[in-house]
Amino acid sequence: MGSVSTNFVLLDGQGGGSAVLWKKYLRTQGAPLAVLKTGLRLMSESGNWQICGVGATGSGRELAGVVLGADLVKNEITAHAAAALSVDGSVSTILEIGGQDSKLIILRDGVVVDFAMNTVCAAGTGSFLDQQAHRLGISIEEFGALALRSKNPVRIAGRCTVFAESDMVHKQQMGVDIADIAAGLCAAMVRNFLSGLAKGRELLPLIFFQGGVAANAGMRRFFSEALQQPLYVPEHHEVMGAIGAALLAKEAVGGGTRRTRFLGLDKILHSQVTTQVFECGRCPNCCEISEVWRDGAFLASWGARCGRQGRADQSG
Amino acid sequence: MPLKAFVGHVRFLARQGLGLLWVPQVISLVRGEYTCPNLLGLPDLVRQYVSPSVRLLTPVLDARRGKRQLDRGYLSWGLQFAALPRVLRAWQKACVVQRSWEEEQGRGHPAGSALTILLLGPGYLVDDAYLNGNLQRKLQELGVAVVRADLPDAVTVPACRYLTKRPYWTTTRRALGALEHFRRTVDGVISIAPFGCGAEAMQGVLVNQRLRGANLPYLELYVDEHSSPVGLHTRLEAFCDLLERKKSG
Repeated sequence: MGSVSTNFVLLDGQGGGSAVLWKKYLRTQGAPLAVLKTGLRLMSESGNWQICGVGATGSGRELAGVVLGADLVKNEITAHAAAALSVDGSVSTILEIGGQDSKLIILRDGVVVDFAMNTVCAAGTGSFLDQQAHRLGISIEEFGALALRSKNPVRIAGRCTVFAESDMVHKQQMGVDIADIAAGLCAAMVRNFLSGLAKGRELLPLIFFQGGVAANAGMRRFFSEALQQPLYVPEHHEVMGAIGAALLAKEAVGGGTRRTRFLGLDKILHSQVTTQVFECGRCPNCCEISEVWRDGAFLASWGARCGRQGRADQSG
Repeated sequence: MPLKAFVGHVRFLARQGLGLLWVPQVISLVRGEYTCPNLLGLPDLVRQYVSPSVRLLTPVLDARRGKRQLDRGYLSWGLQFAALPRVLRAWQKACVVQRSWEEEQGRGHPAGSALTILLLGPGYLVDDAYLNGNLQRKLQELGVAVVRADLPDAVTVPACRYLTKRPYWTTTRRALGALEHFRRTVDGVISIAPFGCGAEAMQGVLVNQRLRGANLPYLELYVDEHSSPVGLHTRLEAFCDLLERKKSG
């Protein structure tokens, strides 16, 4: 469950393989709970599946984990690495750009040895490309192809996306072709990624490019130009995080030998999950606490620095 | 961001009807080094935020001309409350405590089978669970032992000899010295810094350079005003996964 998209994959539970039986890429659009239900409904309509284990990853992994009854909740770096390794064990570098994170993962001999992520802000990530495509009136799906058509990419200030946007507006008002702006933006984002994350790290082949942004042909072109190497974009690049979580979940349930904690489609689709966020007033820390409830029953809460759980504790 | 938190604390205290506020002007603690410019200006900054009725006590601690001058700063601060004999007695007591603490820190850390991480960063971040997204608690939950970078200057100053130029910010020099002291006995290094802090940015680069090719995983964390620690925890979890997989081979 990511900031921009929520992705579902079904992996074959039998054997050691990681064959993708079904996948779905849905936009989160600020409504993680609704999109979770939509995805599960689509999954149940696609066939009669028996779920042996569930994994959750992404920035919404805790929420998804509680709502689904996940066997494994894992951070997206580990998940992406697991998925890439299942495709090719010799992968040494993973570039991943998602909705609000960009990551660089360095592996040696099938083990993650280093990684870097964008710092506090989400500059140079997928959601910014999204926004800019929207502002230029083109769909994000066409954006990459448009960037490829450019003959003279313009220089766009790439350090901060707010700077980039004003630079793009200026170029646009000077009459620069939209394709050149789109290409310039891709190039700026690649520069930003490499200067911010690579920082002297050795990017050895085989290089994987995954995450939603890997669909963007413009980004692919400027990355491989900058690195002077071909990139490998895996077939299921947009759902690699989900594949990784599923693979790790498979491990967590012992390949199906242990019973899953999955709550079952019926229960999830026919219950009402609500969330509530409030500022706790018990101490001057004023933690922002979010609670999840199912059909009026308390499920979980996050955000209390003191580790306190739930509203029941509030009064006590 | 740390300054905002500081001013927030000050204003909170001022609202409680506080009459006297101690905000030292720490210019330099070790000869040839400085503290961060934001710390230097702290008394002036605070003055803008509290009513004139609050008395500010701002002793100047400055070791630029040697330790003598620094000690004089401590003593003159004491003299505002008591006569010299009493101040000197208090001073001697304080020195004993400081020395025994330094000896304790120098002894290193208990070796165990658990993963140990050296935590670098300014005290106002490392020890403030509010600002650092509950970093230490999270690491504890992840089953990692934390080694603090608190080492006496007698250890960290010589440890920085490999550098062509000694860093003139005390926090940076202490962190780099601690890195030298502990790097062979820990499994990984985490540094935490406020976003946009100059001294810490230098530290990050120097640590990175030192560890290049050293096969010691290093994670740089930056915090700002985000009240949700989710991003921070993602990085910590991934880092601990990495350390575990590395250790188990």
